[in-house]
Amino acid sequence: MRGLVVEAGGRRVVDGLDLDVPRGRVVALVGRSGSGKSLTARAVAGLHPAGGSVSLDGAPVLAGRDVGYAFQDALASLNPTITVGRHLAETLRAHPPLPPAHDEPHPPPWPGEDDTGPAARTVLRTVARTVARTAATTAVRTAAVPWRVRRAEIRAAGEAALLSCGLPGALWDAYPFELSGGQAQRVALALAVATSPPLLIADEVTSALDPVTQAPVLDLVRAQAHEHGRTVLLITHDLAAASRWADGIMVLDRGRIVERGPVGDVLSAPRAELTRALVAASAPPATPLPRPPGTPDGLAATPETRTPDDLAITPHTGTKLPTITHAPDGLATASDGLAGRSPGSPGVPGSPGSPGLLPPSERSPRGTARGGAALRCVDVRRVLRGRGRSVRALDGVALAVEPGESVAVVGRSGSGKTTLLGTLSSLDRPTSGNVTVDARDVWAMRDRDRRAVRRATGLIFQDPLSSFDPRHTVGRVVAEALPTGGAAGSTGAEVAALLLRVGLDPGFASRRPATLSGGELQRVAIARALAQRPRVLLADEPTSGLDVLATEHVLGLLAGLRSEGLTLVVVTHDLRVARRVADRIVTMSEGRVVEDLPAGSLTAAAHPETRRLLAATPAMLDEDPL
Amino acid sequence: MALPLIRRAATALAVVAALSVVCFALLDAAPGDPAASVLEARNGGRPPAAADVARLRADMGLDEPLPVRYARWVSAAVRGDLGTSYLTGRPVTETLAATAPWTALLTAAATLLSAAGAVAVGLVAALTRRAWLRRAIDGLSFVLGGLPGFVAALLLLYVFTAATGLLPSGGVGRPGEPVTPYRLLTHLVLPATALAFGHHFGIYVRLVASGVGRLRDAPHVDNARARGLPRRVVTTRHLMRPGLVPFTARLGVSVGTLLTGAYTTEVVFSWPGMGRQAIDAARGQDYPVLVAVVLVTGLVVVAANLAAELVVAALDPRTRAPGRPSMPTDPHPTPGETAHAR
Repeated sequence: MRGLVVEAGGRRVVDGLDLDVPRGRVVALVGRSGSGKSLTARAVAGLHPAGGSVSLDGAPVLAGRDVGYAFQDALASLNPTITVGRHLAETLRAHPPLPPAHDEPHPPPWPGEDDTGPAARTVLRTVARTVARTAATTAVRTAAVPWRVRRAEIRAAGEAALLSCGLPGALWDAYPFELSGGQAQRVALALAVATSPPLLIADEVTSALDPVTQAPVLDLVRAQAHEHGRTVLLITHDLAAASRWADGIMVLDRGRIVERGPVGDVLSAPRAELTRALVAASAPPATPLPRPPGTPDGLAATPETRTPDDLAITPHTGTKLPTITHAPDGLATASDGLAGRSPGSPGVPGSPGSPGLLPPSERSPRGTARGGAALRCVDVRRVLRGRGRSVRALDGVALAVEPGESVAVVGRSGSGKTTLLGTLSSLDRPTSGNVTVDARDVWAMRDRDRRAVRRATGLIFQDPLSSFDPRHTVGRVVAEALPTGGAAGSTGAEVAALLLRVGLDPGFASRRPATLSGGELQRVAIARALAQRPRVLLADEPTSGLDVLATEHVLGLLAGLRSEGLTLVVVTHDLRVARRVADRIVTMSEGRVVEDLPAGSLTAAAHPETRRLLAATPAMLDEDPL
Repeated sequence: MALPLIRRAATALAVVAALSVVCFALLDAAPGDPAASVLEARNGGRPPAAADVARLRADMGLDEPLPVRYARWVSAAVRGDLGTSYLTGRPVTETLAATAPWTALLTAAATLLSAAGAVAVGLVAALTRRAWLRRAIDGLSFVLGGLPGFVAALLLLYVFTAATGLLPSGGVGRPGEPVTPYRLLTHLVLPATALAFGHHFGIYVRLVASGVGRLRDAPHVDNARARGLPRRVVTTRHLMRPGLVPFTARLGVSVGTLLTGAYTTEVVFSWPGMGRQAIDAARGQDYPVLVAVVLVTGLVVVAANLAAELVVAALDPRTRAPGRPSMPTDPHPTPGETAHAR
């Protein structure tokens, strides 16, 4: 790739990018949200007009034929109205793999060709010749490859693609909406490689998957390079995943590559400031005390630019990573809340000195003065019904959260985490069992009391954007959640204070949600939750889809709130997130709580489900994941 | 697929049956006396004598209680006898057979015209990169969507008949003349256009434009493009097929209003369909004809809804009835891949 220039919305997003990816290697393109990663990939795949040149073994890339593209949201990247097989068949039909049998048969020459004679005869003859030639070609083609055989061949090739991605061939007849998240991602991958393109682009293919599902998918992506000799461009904001599955790393910042090299070198000795910040943010929280910025140890002097030949797999080393809680763009205070608290020493719920029991006067002046509430579920069951089948989303859950305690609920997709959160929020009524807030049964209350409980419960959603009214300004979104409902005159100042508290400029109040980045949106969501003056904060995957630096900031905020005595329940499939913000980690599987551990002793987990999550959590280099 | 279909067909029949009851009851409750109307018509507008009316009522069976009359009507109707017109004395089925095909022709032509036109125009609006064109179509569809059918009819009549004389103003030609395809077409153009544009064209355009336009930058369309599929396939299979679902559903529902619109259009254009028949029957309290027209209309509406539902189910498998066996799970189960729907 030479001098790639991509413009979007009148802005130059990718600015003169040079990229070399060797055959048979996985190169990760990492960077923060908005750094131009996806646009680069889209430009290579021909989905976005771009300047510069992209070549494959010296020849210009043929979009659609040479590039397989696996999209970020696999399920959305499949047409919901047609089967998996139809997707595969149409792709294979558009680009036949060209075995000899499929070659265009040579039409038989027209006997007795001569172009002399009157004009009319020539015209007639030309017409006759064309007709005859078309008929002959069709006949030969049909005779050589009857329609039925072609169909069977296409199906065989498609099923082979499914099998190569670890899926049963029977999925051919499935519709996209019948697939699980992991299956959908594999189907998308099979679709991308069905025609054997020399280049595969995997664009954030696993950012929506839980780690247990994520690992095999990324294994598959890597196999495309190492076993099938394809060139793989892995686009991700997850440095840990890149370190585990890629051979080389390129760090992209504002449309330019700021650092490139083999995985081991870049991660153990990051040179660019951004890389250092990314490495620091991805580092396991158990890393020893932060070192002052600028004095990373183990940094060897390396040449400024490495050639692609250097992108060989190097053995992973257990180098200590520099932890630098310093990021560009005013994110410097990202981990304020983390610095003060060692994750290894969870507060003992209810014991003196734990944050939840601080007298209100010692806490933050705004919002959380009433302290946390106690949540309790007793034998809660919730059956979800739909379309002729019912699922026991919660199957006898017992959970107690003490005031001021912070609990992370972890588990794979579909384990019932989100349903549990809905129950804890007093919004979703369980099929059976009791939910109590401060020892009062929520569903035995009068409606008015239940609404008061809900008001004291702040919710943070996975996708903040869709939880805001797109027509409202950020200021109105936050003001509406204030106890005054945004009616009183002093709301402007209150909103400004809340925005400042989550690290946003008060000027954001006049902007619309759609113009904000993912990290900024999630901070607005937190500000909105705080505006309710909550005693309980419930967060559902608050950091999924955020890049590492934004994640870092959001986690810092949540950890800071915890130290103010709020009761906090965070649902996540990322153990690293759980470990950051929680005193206790609760593992769910198939609607039950299967393990309940202090955050510090996660490595002592006994239940296979927790162990599986632990094993699948990508570690930076060879360091202990947690 | 078979069982839900039977269930839906049964529901449709039940709806028609209920309709017949309601219709019967309403006509019975309506003011006026059919026997009196009939006699008045026969006498040339003079009020009839009370004795005559009573005699005729007895003859027509009108003095029996409503349930008895309804039962009698049903038992005849299932045998294909919808009674005899009070006014003309001819069997209702015979008159219906003469008028219904005309209405069917007009409605079908209007539906085809508005649906095909809306898909074409809507697609242009959805896919064009020219903002002015999109806005123009948007504005046009808004104006057409608010245009009452009879206004459209009068406008068309003025432009094509009164001002230019290009097309006949109504009817299907002089009686006795053979109906040639050409004559049929020239007489059909105006009423069909009036019906199509005056009723649903604007709404259809908007449904197509929004349904398809919403998908223009959808991930699955990007994916189709990235796989290098031919443009035709991307447009038809990946944009139109999922994008036309709301439009198709609406098409079935609006057949009912289209029929009602057809009846007024028929009157404006002197089209020999069921509309004029229904209005004459209502005016003259010719209940057997009126009930038959209402019933036929109801049947068509129910059938159109059923058909639209089937087409939608064919277009979008997500709307299909439950009962489809779940897909086989992974042969090499990677943990965490239970087939749960997102």
